[in-house]
Amino acid sequence: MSREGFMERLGTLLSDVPEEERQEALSYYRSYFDDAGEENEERILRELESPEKVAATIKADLGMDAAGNGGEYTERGFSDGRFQDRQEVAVQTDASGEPGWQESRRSEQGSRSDGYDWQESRRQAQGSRADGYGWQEGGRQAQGSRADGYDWQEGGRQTQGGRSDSYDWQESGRQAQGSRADGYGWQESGRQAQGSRSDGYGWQEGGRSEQGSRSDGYGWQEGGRQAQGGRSFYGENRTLKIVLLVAVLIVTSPAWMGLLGGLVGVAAAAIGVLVAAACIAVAFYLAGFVLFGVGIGQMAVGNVAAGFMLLGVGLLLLAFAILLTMAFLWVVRKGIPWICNAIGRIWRGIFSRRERAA
Amino acid sequence: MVFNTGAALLDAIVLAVVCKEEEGTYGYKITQDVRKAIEVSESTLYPVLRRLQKDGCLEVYDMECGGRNRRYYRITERGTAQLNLYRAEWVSYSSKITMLFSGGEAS
Repeated sequence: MSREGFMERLGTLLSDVPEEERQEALSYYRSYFDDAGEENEERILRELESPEKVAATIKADLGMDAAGNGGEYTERGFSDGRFQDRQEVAVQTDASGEPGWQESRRSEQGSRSDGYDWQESRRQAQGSRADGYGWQEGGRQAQGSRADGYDWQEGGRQTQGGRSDSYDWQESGRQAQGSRADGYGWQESGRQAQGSRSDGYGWQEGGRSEQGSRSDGYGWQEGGRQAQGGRSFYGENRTLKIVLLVAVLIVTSPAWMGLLGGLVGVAAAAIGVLVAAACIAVAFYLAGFVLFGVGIGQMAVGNVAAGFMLLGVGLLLLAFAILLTMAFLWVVRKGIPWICNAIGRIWRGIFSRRERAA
Repeated sequence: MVFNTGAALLDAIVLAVVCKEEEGTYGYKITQDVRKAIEVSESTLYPVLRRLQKDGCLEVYDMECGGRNRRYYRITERGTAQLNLYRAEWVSYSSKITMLFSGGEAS
């Protein structure tokens, strides 16, 4: 690939980064080639490997690597960390050199040096850096078998105990591979739930999670065990609640028995009214028919006025009877199912509340 | 190189290299100078320089050179302060490691 081709391809690959960054990067590499001179062009092209790799490095630092969109957030987090770091430095410059030095020494003597901490947060928080880093590692691995040996050595050190730098290094490496987040997250939760796990265990788990589905299986098992624990706890609680409920029911029996009696009375009254209505309807039918018949008889006899009056009253009674029948049927068809449903709802409500309470 | 060059160390090295040139220096030269000390790929330094620039540790300016503009990097006050911190850290860190490697005990 020629220099022109390289620059063109790089420009295309950077088309999704902010224009300012794109121009900045392109002008850097343009002048890089210029400064290197034509005699070095081939060597630089070879060492840069490919526009893809250069673009990936740039994007990784901008927090827009392919790993995800979280990059921007982490990039900001990383920037904040740097800013804090610099604040500290600014304070040190204001003071005389000696206190500044002491400050750095003190922090260095603590559990973690500031520099390290910063590096750590940056590496952890910013996926893109980790990627870049991972890529660097990958590059070195490609250079020879030494990297493997190193890796093994790191593993060995981990089994000896404390979470060393190397562990985190390995973590970040794994992150670059994409599988890290799950494994690590699980590991964290596992450690939290089970208290003081040794680092050795953590490492072992890490290894297992690298193997793939085994970590999932274990995680599931974990979840299952938790659920089982929850259920047994739930059961105990429920028994206690039922015993309490029965005791309360016995103690309060006069009250709720009276209430129940009242409810039964109301129901009986309602049924009584219904029966009465039915009886009245039947009576009206009979009376209506009788009066109707008598009215026709009177008219036939010649007593027209009395006949009409009896006929009219008979028809009125029949009309009332029909109305009552319709009302009765409506009540029977609509009212009773509604009452049944209402009772059912109330019952279910009490029942499910008990379930929930238990 | 057997040992990893972490991001902080890389920043420190770049700052040290730029700091040497009072009038400022440019990308290609920085890369060549850094490579005198550690193995870095040609593409490693651009993001580092850009970041240090954004963080206010380096400032850039363009200067005419051979009929074209060349971008120069110069260390800022903030960059100098950061470099001083790195230097102090490095002295403490490297002396302990050296002590450990030589079999002595850290004082």
